Amino acid sequence: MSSPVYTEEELGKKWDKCVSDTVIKFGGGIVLGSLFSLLFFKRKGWPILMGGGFGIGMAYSNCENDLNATIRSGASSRPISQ
Amino acid sequence: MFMVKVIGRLLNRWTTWKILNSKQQLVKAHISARSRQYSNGICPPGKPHKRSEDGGGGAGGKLKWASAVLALAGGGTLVYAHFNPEFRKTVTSLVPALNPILDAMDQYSPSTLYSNTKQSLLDKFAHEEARPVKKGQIPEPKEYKAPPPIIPHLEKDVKKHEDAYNEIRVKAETGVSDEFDIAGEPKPQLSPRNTTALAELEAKICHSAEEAVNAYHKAVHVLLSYNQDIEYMLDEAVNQVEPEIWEKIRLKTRHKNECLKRAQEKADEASRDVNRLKELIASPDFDAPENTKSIIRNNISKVQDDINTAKKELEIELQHGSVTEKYWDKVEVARKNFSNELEILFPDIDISQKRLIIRESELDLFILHIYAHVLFHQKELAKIETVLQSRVDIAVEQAKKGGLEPLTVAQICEAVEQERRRLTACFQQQLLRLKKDSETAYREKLKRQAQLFNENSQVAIRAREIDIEKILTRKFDELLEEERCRFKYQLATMMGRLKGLDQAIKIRNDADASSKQAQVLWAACQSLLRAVRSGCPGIPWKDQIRPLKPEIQGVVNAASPTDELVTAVISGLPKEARERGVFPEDALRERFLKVEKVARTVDLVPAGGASLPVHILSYIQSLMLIKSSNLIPQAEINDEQIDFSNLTTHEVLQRARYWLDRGDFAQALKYMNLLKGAPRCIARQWMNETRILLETQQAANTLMAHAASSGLMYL
Repeated sequence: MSSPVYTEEELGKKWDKCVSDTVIKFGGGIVLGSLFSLLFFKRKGWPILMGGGFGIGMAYSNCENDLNATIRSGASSRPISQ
Repeated sequence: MFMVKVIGRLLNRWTTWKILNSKQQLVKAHISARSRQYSNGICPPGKPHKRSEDGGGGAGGKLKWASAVLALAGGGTLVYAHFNPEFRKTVTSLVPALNPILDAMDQYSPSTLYSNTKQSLLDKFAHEEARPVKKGQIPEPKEYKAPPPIIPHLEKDVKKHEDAYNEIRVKAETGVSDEFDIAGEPKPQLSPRNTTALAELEAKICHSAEEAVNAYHKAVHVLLSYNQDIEYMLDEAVNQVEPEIWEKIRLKTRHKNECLKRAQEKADEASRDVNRLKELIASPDFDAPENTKSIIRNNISKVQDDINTAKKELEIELQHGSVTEKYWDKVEVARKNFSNELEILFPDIDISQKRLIIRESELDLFILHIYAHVLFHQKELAKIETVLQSRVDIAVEQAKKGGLEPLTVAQICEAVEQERRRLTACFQQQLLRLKKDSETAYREKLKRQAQLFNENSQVAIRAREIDIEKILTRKFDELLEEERCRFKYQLATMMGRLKGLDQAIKIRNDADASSKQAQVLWAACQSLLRAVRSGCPGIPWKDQIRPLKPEIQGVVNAASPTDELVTAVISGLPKEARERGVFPEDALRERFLKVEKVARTVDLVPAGGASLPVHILSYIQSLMLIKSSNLIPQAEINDEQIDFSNLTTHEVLQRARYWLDRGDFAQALKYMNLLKGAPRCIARQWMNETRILLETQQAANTLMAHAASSGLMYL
């Protein structure tokens, strides 16, 4: 049996998750852009910015969805069952 | 002169005394004659008065006169000495030999003589005759021996000594000394036939004479003894007389009568035989010498004299004894009268019994009767004493004056009195007898009437008894029915009361059970409420949730299965509360802090969600907002009308916080329900939990109230 989910606590966790996800995704986009820049675009700078931009964008979108999903789940939430 | 006077007076007194003496003698003689007359001739006829036979002589006349004068002088001196003490002293000093004569004169003075005469008269009237009472033993009669028959002696003399003298022993009357009469004449020849008859007759005469005289003697003895007993009775008081003496006297009376009869018979027989012998002797056929005949006659006369003497003695004793006989008869009559009176008075009494048993009620009557008798007798006695004494006094006085007529009158009066007394006694006896007869007749009639009355009354009583029995039976039945009804009524009342009591006891029992159940229910509800309200300190609020199933089950068990309220309330409990449990108030309060904070951060976010910048902006707004110190305005607390739709999330949360701090979860929930958008979504879980808690609390409170009300009902 899973531990009960409390809406008010979930929102804070989601914010923490967003931050970490953004950092990971931004870092991963830079890494990928760097790779592409090194491999294909001859060490250009834009692939790195674009990879970073993609990462941040993906994290933003995920974070927004998560947060809204929590809020929406709270609107129809049932009492917690143990 | 003085001497002459004295002598003259003395002479006068002496003549008076002499006359008195002669009168006294006359009275004595007269009274004794009267008494003899009244005592039916008991006393022998009085001796004839001796007449002075002394004739007067010529020469003796002078001597007589001289002696008379001497005697007169001597007598006068003596009489004067008798009356004058000084002269007496002088005389006795001169001639001491006169002293005893004077003493004797004192004794026989006229006054003494008068009193003696009076006393003797009274005694004579009182006792009729005063006889000396013979005291001591009466001498036994001596055996009488008749003169022996002479005929056998004559025969012997004829046979043996033809010329001998007849020796006839004639015994005296007393039988002590023997007389010897010797006839010297030769005895004539007797014929054998005459001799035998004569001998037999003479022997018979001797025998019968002996028997007659002895019987007379014995009768005299018995009579004397009888008289002695009667005199004893006379002398002794009635209460000192021994009771055996009455029986003794009765026996003696009978014995005396027998003796008298027997003596009379024997005397008759003896006289008959004597007459026969006389005839024989006098007859010419009797051939005997004159001498013999005279001896025989002499013997016969002796025997007859003896018998007559004995008879006379007996008659004298009989005459003497007639007084006692009369007294005894009177006593007997008096006793008989008294017995008759007693029998009349008390018909049930038995006189022959030694002990007289009288009932207490009869004792009064007895005493009254005896008292009346005693009074009567006392009265009579007093009358006799006084009247008789006065009469005797008068008579004596009259007699002194001369003439015996008053004495005769007194005696006649006494006789009349006696007759009157006798008649009164007779009248009383007759009255008593008549009374007795009438009493008996009256009793008989009364008895008959009583019998008749008894019979009638018995019939009436029987009829009345039947009536009364019927009435009683009816009454009894009525009473019985009434009592039965009353009893039934009481029984019904008691039964009703008992049933009521039983019912009450049952109700009470049920109430007790219900009360107990209510208590148990109250305890179960209390435990449920306690479990709902407070958590366990020191444990995180998330872990304070636990299932309420045991408490709910306890309530279900405590409540009766028919308790609809409990059933409804239990069934109305939220499912989560039963299965999962509810968060206690403390946990919800702690959670509210978190919910409030998060709700503030998402204030700008709508319910469907928003872009991330909105979230961020909302977060920044929440950081920038400053919390007001006044959480809720006063107007709202005062329950004034406000528009709740315009409240912002912060205002709502503040108000919820305010009520939560004061423990009013319901109010807090009401305010929280005003939230919109994302805050409402965030607070929804808290709101649900709070609602479950409130519902559970409400149910627990309802059960508590129910349990309390159930308990109160039976207090």
